Amino acid sequence: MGKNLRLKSARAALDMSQKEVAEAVGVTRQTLNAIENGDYNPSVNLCISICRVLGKTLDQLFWEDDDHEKN
Amino acid sequence: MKKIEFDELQQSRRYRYGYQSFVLLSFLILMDTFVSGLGFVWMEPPMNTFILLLAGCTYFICRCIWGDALVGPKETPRRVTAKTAAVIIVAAAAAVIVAGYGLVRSSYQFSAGTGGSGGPLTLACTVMWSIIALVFAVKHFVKRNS
Repeated sequence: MGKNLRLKSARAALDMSQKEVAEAVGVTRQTLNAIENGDYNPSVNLCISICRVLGKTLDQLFWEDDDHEKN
Repeated sequence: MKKIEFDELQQSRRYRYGYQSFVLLSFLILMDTFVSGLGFVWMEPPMNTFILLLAGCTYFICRCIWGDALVGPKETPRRVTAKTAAVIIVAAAAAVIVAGYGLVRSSYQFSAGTGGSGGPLTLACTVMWSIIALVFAVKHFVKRNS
């Protein structure tokens, strides 16, 4: 599983740190870091929470296809 | 009692570490039975089981500490730091007290059948608390520098 750069860029666009997003979502910073680095596959509920905090859709952040291929 | 909440990664890690501890404990008990069957009694029952249980518990706690699965995300950083300091101090103090008590009583008896079973258990507790304190301190140091 590759890094989720779209999540990272969406977070950076809002000028939020990993810690701030993690607190808003209700997980630890280590968990968010693992998701961004592709070390952990989050549940749908956690994905939805992250999308809500970052103001994005699931497709925009987590969907993998030819257009949104993960690095 | 306040429920400790972990996030899903922490929960999955705790389940994994628990499973590993269970497998480790089962393996140790099986090895103990095998060794006892060969005629080598390294510790009189039930002390051998107690010490193996301590080994399994120590492994689980140390893995949780190292995998950031000991405190939930709801804990504030100040509270986590306070808890870390408390665990290090209590663990180190417990190790020193137990070791001191054992030394005073001169009850460290490693060979089986010597009549005393408190010595090995005392030593095992000392080692357990020392390992927990050490792992906690090292993890705290690594985390702070990362």
